Amino acid sequence: MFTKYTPIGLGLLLLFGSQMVHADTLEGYQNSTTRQQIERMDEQSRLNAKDTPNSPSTGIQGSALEGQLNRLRAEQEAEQEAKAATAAKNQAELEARWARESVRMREEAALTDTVRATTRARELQQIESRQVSMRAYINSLPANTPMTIANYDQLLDLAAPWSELMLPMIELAYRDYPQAFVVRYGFLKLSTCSGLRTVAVAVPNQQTIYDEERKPLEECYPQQLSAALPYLDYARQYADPLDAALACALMAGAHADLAAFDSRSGFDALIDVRPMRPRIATWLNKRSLPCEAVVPTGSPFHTGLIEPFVRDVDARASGYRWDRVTINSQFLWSMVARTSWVGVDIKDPQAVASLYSKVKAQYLALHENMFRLTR
Amino acid sequence: MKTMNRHTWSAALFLFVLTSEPAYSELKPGYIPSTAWMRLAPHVSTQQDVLDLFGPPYDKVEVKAEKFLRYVTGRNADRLKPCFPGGNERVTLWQYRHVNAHEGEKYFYNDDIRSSREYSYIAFHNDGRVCGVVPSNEDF
Repeated sequence: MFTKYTPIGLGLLLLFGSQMVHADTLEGYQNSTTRQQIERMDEQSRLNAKDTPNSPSTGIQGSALEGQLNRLRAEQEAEQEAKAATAAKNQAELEARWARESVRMREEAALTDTVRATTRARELQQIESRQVSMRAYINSLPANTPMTIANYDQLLDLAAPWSELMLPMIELAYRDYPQAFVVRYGFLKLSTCSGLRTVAVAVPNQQTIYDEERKPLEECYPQQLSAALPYLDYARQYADPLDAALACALMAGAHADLAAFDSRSGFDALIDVRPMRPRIATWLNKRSLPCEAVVPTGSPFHTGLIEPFVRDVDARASGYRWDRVTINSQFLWSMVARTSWVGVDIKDPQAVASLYSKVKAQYLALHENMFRLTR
Repeated sequence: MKTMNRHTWSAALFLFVLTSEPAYSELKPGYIPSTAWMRLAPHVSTQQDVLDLFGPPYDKVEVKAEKFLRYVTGRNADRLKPCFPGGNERVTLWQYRHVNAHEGEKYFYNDDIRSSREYSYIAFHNDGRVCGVVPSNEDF
């Protein structure tokens, strides 16, 4: 198939082909729009730059391209200046806002300090006046005579609702008369936080709680039920009928508002509630179920005190209400104070109901007073 | 009929597995929420209270008191020091593991949560009352 002339033929064919391509490309370029455009642009730039020598140049000075570049550069510079101006404005606004915020924070801190100082002064004034009354009462007692149950009752009433004074007093009373004071001891374990101020525990808010009290308070509420329950359980079994019934009322109230014993701050505390609530309820039930034998449903004490009390506590548990009752509050002291029950027949439903109404009214008044103290 | 039976059994098995999943409020034995230790009242709560509230411990660890106190600091150390009057005796502590987060129905421990601790340790008096309880990150 291949002869000796084949390479020559192929060579001629390639030479002819390359000539054709070259001729076509050159002719195409000479007639093309691109070339015409470039020539027109060169002509235009020569006309625009009359004082430049009429000779072809490799630089862009004076060319249309330079004009475009200058325009572009100017636009970029303007854009950067606008951006810088906006940034400076934002920064200035931010600094002004921060300055305003700093002033506001300083003012708020100063106000908090002032309110705290005022509250603290009022607190101390009230505590001191109670101390004066207590001292006067002790001085009125015959010398060298042991303190009686009635003496301790009187002193506790004088100290109430200030746990700063009640806690040392109940320790002495319980040491001397454990059987007589066990339910009141349990009540104070349930409603106070040792070492913390009454105001911080009873009306906890931003202005009443000091920074150093925050952590102990957070740990105190969850502990209250464990601290109180053995005493209430003991009272249910061994105390006199009134104290046994009161122990059952407190356990029923605790059952109705278990949320009162949850830690009130911290992200972790939210996780605690769901797994712990049923366990706490079961644990509490072990002690409170035998109460049915102490205060049967339908008995005067049950209808007159436990039922309305649980309703009030439960109402608070289902949503914060000013006119409702918190189970772990020392403002309920008058419910367990022996002096409140003098002359009250616990088998008379009207008498018991009337006493509970007074307890609730006193609770609300104390809460209001304590809240006003912090304003 | 044979196929129907198999499907019925599969469905029943699936339903059983579904319903026998632990409820949301259930935790694995030995696990408690990371703030639950606050529920105990030192010197008042008993071992039975601990079992009622937390269930059995994850472990009962034996450790030298001095070594243990080296790893707990501040208020927690102050809480436990009175529980080891002998100084460096070997003590048995109940250990519970913590959960501090949940995803759907599963509880777990998330160590990204600030100030959370992974374990609780409970020291008891000889009579079985709780002497002290502290949270800690140390696994003894």
